[in-house]
Amino acid sequence: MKQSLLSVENISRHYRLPRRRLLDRQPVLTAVDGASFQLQRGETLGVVGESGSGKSTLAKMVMAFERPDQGRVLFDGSDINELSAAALKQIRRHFQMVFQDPFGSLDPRRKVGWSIAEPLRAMATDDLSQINDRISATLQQVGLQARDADKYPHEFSGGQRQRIAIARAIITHPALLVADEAVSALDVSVQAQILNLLMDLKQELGLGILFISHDLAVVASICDRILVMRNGRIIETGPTAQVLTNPAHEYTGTLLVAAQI
Amino acid sequence: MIEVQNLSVRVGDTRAVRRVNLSIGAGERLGVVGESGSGKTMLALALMGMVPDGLTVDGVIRIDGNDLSRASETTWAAYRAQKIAMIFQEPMSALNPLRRIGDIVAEPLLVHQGISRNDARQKVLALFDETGIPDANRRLQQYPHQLSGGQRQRVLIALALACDPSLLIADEPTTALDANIALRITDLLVRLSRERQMALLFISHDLSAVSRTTEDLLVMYGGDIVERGKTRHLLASPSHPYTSGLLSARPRIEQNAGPRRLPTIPGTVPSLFDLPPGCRFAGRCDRELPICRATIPQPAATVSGGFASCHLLNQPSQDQTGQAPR
Amino acid sequence: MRRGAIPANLMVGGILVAMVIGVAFISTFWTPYPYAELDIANKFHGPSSAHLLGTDQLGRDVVSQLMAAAGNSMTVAVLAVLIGCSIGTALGLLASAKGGWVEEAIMRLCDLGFAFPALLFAIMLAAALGPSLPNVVIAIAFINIPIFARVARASANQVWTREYVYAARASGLGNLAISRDHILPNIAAPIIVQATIEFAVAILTEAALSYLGLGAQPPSPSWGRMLSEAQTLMYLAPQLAIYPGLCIVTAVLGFGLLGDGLRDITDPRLSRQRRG
Repeated sequence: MKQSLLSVENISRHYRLPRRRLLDRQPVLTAVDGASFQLQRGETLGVVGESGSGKSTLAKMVMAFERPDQGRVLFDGSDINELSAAALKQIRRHFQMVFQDPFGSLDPRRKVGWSIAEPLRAMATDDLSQINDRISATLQQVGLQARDADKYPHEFSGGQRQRIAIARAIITHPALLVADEAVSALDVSVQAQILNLLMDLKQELGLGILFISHDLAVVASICDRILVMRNGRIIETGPTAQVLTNPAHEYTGTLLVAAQI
Repeated sequence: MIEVQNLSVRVGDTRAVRRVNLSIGAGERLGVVGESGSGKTMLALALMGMVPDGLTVDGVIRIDGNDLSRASETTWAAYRAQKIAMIFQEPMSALNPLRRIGDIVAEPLLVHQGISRNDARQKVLALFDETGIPDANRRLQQYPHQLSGGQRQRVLIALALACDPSLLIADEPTTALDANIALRITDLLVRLSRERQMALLFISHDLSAVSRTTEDLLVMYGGDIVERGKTRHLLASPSHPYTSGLLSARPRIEQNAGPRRLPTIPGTVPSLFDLPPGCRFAGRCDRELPICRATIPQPAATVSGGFASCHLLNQPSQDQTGQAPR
Repeated sequence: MRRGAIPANLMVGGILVAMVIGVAFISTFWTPYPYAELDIANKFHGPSSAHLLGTDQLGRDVVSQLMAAAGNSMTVAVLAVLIGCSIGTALGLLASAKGGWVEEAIMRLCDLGFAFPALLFAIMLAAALGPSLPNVVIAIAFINIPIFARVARASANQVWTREYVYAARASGLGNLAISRDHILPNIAAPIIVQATIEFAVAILTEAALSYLGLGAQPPSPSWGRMLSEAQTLMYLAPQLAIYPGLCIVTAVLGFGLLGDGLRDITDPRLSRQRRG
């Protein structure tokens, strides 16, 4: 059987909230409740849901920033929460992330080239002398110029910063890219450029992309399959065309109506 | 109601907003659509008399017939309290987290109208009812964090309506909300404008929210109004290349369509300090003429019945309609 | 905050601090007289051209003593705050990076440190270690550790939730590297502000300990010890108590104002939000 690039098996995550009163039971917030899905190489899977639906928590667990309370996250067949710290560090190069806020995801005090090369330095296994070539090549790959490496983040517009963030994510040639609301903060005229860039990179590098967004229209325009989340549960999943034309869940229908206006 | 002539907002010699004319009558709804750096927020602040220090406002702002362009801060404050109100993008940060909802909304009533506490309470309940906040009596006692994003935005609207303003300015009121909540907020704004005969200025980057809410539309880019007209006609047959580019770059749900490349507008939104001398869209426009870089285009009539500032409209040999209407 | 406008507290504080540091620096190579030179014949002189502020009960030049004392005071404060700040910040960063029981343990230990009145604790330590300036440094450094640990942890916890830190984690960087590359540079501002304020407190604490005889030992001059020696002569020569008192006030006020001013200009809550 062909192994999935990413396989999420029945994961849940609960947060304990502060007690309201001293003797009350500690309230528990269930952010993700028994989510399962698979993502293949070269596939774009969209996760759509409102704020508070658990989609960002899902991303954090896939990235091993948080540990699920239950269930497993398998990357290329190995459970990322069972790996030793050193082994996790080694395979991190294969799954990278792009964040929502193009102003917040780059350290304002560091030159762009420094930030982009961070994953390479972290691994330290690559030939460090080639780092500058890699930075130049990656910048060009995302539509920027090699000399942009010597500038600071504030010298770039929002769309360009998001290109820089994508450059950092793909510099290690990952197999999986998690994009959490990666175009939500961008202007419409720039958003389409970034979406196209992600599609091109998927083609060129054979990337699997987990694309998370609250905007069904955006998800529909880039993803092969869609997964709808609500209150921590996955309530619907299927190929994009099927979910759009024939939503199985009533809630998906209301999202569709809201997005079509 | 509100009339603006030749309004400019300047930072030194740089104009963040360039010679804007607009007027909104009672019960009319005007939309302003634009991206970051288009000057739309600065326009809203100028209409509130709240332009930050260091910026200069030129031109005429007339509210209910009174010219406010030279008005003092105290005059503006009086107008802000009674005539113009504004709601913002982020409902959480606009509400004091330590005060009860009821007290927040009652405050302007107690301060500006000098009515009794009991009357204020009745008025707040009526406002909550009008803005669709359920269970009003209980809400009075609650704090902002106990409300959902949509409810908070409704509270802000109730607060803005407290002194019966004749103009409501809404700056990206739906951007922070989920899609189906945003729908209900725009519907609410339309209804309130109709019922109260209140002028509404709706500012957003979101074309679908604007098209749902407004009758007339201004498209801003780089501090200029590049196109104006009836919302419906303008969006159906845009004349300015920027408007049509914006419309086609927007991801839309189309049945049976899988992943596909979107048409894009090349380049990035220029910074205020780095605008081209002629048409501000020059350099990103796919239908650029030699004249565009050097000369500022004048507004010309469009097929949709509005006006657009584009040299293409003055070139009789050219196809004037821009891209095919969707 | 308009650019170019320096807040008044920053300006006044800066001038006072520059004066104190300048005097302290000059005293390392020049004072009008050797500060310990006795001249019993000329004791209790009033101000004169030979002795600008007169002489004390043993005929020592008061200006020279005040200058040398400024040097001692600055040295103690710099060393104490530097040591306390380094250890405290490191602990705070560690607590923030590790989280869980490590954070809990470090912060509860800090609470314990806070539970003792700082001055009393310094007295206890100085008494236990024996009275001397180096021990004063240790005592003051010690009471500074929990203060800096707390500031560093609180600021660092905020930075850990920034997206660029998540991005760094996604890159495979370890806690140590992230703390060094991203957290530390971004919490430097509040730490520096705190250090300036603690500097003022350290000067005051040093003076207090020396006043109690736990700090500088004769003949090494200190404002606090000059104050305590002048105390018995209050009716005879009140100026001998007033001069070192004024020096302490100047230095403490200067650093206090400087710290407040720095906080005003670096506090993000005071800077205006940018809007599109």
